[in-house]
Amino acid sequence: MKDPSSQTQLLGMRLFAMASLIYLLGLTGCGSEPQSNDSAKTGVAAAVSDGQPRRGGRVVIGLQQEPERLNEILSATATNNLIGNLIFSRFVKYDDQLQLIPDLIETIPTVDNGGISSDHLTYTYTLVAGARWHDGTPLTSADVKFTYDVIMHPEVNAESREGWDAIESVETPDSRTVVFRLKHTFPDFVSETFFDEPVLPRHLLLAELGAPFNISKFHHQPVGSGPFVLDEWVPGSHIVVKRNDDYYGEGPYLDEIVLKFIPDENTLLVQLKTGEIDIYDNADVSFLDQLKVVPGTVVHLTPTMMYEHIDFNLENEILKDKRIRQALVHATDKKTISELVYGGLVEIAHLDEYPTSKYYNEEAASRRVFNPLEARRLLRSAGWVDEDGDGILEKNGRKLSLRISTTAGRINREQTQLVLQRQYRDVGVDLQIRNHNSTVLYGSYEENGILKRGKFDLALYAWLSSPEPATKEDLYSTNTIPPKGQNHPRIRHEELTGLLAEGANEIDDARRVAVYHAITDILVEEAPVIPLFWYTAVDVCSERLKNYRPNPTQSSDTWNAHTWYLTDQSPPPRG
Amino acid sequence: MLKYVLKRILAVVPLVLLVTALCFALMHVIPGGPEGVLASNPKIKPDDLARIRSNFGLDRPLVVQYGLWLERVVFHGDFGLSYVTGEPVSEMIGKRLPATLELMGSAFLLSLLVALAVGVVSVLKNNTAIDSLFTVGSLAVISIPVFWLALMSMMLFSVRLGVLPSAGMFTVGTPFSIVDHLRHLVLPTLVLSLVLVASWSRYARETLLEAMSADHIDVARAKGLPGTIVVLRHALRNAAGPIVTVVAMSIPILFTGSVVVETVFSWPGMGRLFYEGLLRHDYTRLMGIVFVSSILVALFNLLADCLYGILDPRIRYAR
Repeated sequence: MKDPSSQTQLLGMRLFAMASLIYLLGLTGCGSEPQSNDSAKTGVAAAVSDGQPRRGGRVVIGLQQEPERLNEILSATATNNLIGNLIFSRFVKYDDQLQLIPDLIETIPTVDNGGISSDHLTYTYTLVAGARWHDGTPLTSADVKFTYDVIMHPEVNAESREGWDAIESVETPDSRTVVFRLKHTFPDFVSETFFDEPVLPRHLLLAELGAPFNISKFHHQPVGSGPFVLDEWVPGSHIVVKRNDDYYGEGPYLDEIVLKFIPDENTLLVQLKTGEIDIYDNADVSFLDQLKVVPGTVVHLTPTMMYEHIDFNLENEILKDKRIRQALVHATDKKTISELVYGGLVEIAHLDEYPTSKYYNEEAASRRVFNPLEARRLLRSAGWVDEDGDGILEKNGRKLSLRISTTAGRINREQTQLVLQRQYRDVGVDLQIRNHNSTVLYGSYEENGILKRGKFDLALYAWLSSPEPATKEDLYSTNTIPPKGQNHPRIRHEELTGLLAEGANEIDDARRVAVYHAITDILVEEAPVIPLFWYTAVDVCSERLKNYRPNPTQSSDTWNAHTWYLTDQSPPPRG
Repeated sequence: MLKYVLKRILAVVPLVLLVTALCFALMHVIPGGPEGVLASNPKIKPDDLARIRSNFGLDRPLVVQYGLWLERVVFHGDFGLSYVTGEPVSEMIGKRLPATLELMGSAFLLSLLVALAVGVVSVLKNNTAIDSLFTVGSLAVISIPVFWLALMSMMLFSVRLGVLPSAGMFTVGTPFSIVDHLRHLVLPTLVLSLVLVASWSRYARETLLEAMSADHIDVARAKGLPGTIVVLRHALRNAAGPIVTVVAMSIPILFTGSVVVETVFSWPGMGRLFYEGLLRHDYTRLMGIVFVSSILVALFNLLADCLYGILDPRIRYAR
C-alpha cells in the first residue's frame, strides 16, 4: 500500500489546495508541446482542430481525486475546477495561451469599452443571450446577484472572499445586466470575479441561503448552465455528464464525458494502456518514459505556474544574518537538482515571478547565480571559519548546522534534500534533514503546523505563482506573519511592507510594474526565499480526441471541453 | 449459551467506547485539520479560516467535541455530517459498505476454501514435493507487498492478456450486467485472498498434522479407512476449532487489506472512503468508519467463539 504520505497523492493535495492561487494574466508563450506516440505519424500531432468537428462519442478521463462536492465556492480544488467547467458557467476563463476570454458575458469589461468606470469603482457586465439552466429556466442577472449573496453570507463556508469583499453593492437594472460598485479599487477584479466561482441557480437554492447551503444536496446533484449536464455520480467510482443541447456557446460535440476516479497512479497508467481511459490528467512525471510509448496517445507537456522553493526562517539565530542566506543562494546549484532529480523536465526559477511576466525583474534575476566562491566569501565575512578542520564552519564554538524540512515521502523532494546536503557541505554548511507529513508541515496555526509556527530552519515546498502579484503581500508583509498570513520566512522589512501594500492597490500599469520591480530587488537582496524551479504538467490523451489543449491556469484542462470532438468514435482495441 | 452471548455483546460497549475515544484523541493530536488543506492557500485569509473553524465547531474544547459526537451517535444514531462533503456520514458509509462487504465476503469464502484444500493436501502429501512447494509458495506470498501483487496481476490479466478489466466495479456507461460485475470482482478478490490463503493454509496444515497424531486417528486408520476420509472426517473436525479462531482473528486484516486493494483497484468501498478521509482529516467520517468497523470486528469475533463451541463439544460456556 502507498503510505498516506506518499508523493503523488500529496502532490495532488497540494496542487488542488494551491490551485486556487492561480489566476494568470498577460502571460504568453506557455503553450503546450504535444508529443505524438504514433511512430507512423511524422512530426508533431496537431493540438488544434483539424477538419470539421464531429458530433457524438464518449471520452473517459482518469482522475486521481474525486471531488468532495461539486461547488467551487466551498472548495476550489483542481478537480472541482475541472468538473465545474463542464457543468457550470463563469464570467471569464483563461485560454491555453493565457488570454482572458469571456464565458457567460458578452465581452470582458475594460475602461475603453465602458465596462469599467474611469475611477475603477464600477464594473458593468452584460450576460450572453440565451443562457439557460439545465432545467430550462432562463439564467438572469438575479442569479448573479444571488451568487454574490451566497459568497458573502456569514454562515456560508465560502473558501475565499478575495475580491468579493471589495464589493459595496450589486445592481441588476435588467435581466442581462449586472453592475458591481466597489468600496475601493481592486485591480484584479475582472480576472477574479466569477473566475473560479460558478454562477448558481437562485430558483433552486434560495431556500438554502445561509448555513443549509454548506450541506445542500445540490452540491451532489448540481444543476448548472454549462456545456454538459450531470447525469450520474456514483461515489468512489465515476461521474457521467451528457451533452447540453441547449448550450449558449459553440458545441458541445461529445455525447458524454465520463470522469473515473482512480486513486492509484499505477492503476491509472494501466487503464491508459488498456484503453479503459482516454485521458490521464496530471500524470506523474516519473511515468514519462512509459507514457511516451503507449500506442495511440499524445503526451502534452505544459509548464505550470507552480514553483518549488526553500524558505529561510529569519527568526533562526544563524539565518537572521542575511549574509548566510545570500551565501546559501549562491551555494545552490539548481541546474544539477533539475538534472539529477527531475531529468531536466523542470524550468529553473531565479525569482518567484514567471519569466515571461511583465513583472519579471531581469536585472535582479541575474544577481542570483550559482557561485560557491562567493558563498564561501560571504560566510567568512559573517565570521564563520573552519576551526577544527572537519569541513564544517564554526563561530564562537558553534557549528554552522541547519535543518531542512519538507513533506515526508515525496521522493523527488527527499532527493533534492540529498543534493542540497552535498552542495552546502561543499561551502562548509552542515544540513540535517527533518521531514514531516504534509498535513503536519502545512497544518494551520491552531493545529500547530510547522510552517505556521515557524518550527523549521529551511523549508522546501511549492507555491503557485500568479501573474497579477497582489497575493505577494500575504507572503512577505510584516503584517502577514502567521497567524495573520502566510509570511512563513517571517521577514520583517518596513520598506517591503509599504511597497507590497502600494502594489496591491495600484491601478496604473506602469507604476505597478515599477513597484513590483522594486519589491523583487528587496527580495533578492534580503533573500528570505530561494526559488528553485517551475514544475511541468504531464497530460496524456488519446489521439482520437481533437482540441484537447491543456491549460496551466485554474481554468484547467477542460476549459474548452465544449469544442472537443472524436475523429474515430469506436473505442480503441485493448492491450 | 444465550447468557454468554449477551455478556459478550455487553462487553462490546466499553470496547467501542475505548476505541473511539482513542481514535478521537489520536486524530486531534496530529497537526492539521479539515480546514488544514485550505490553510496552505495564500488566497485564504486567517479570518476565513477562523469563520470556517467556528462554523464547524472545531474551536470548542476536545472533550466537548467528543461528548457531542458520542451523544449524537448514542441517542440519535447520527454520525454527523462530513466536514469535507457536507453529507451525512451514515449515508456515505451506507453507500460504500455493500461494496466492501461484497469484496471481503468473496475473498473470505475463497480464502477459506482454498486454504483448507491446501492444508488437507499438504497433510496427505506430508513431506513430499507438493508439500514443500506449498510451503515455499506461502512464504513467498506472505513476503510480497499486497499492492505489488495487485499491480502485477493487473499487468498480466489486463494489459498483457487483456482478459479482465483492471479496475472499478463495472464498466461505466454500459447497462449493469452481473457477468461484467463479476469480471471486475475477480482480480481484487484474488489479490485480497492470496495473502490470507498463504497464512491460513500454513495454520491449517499445522493443526491438522497435530490432530493426525491423536489416538482416534490411529483407530480410524487401523479400520482401514483411506487417508482422505481420515483427514476430512476425523482430523478436520478436531482441527476446526483452532482454525476458526485464527480465521476470525484475521477479520481486521481483511479490513486493512481492503483499504489497499480498494485503493489500487479503485473499488468504491469503505476502505477508500477511509483512506481519502484520512488525507483530508475528515474527523466525522473517520470516526463513523472506525465505529462501524470496530463493531463489525467485535461481532465476527463473537460469532467465531460461538462456532468454536458448536464445532468442539468439549468447550462449554461458563454460566
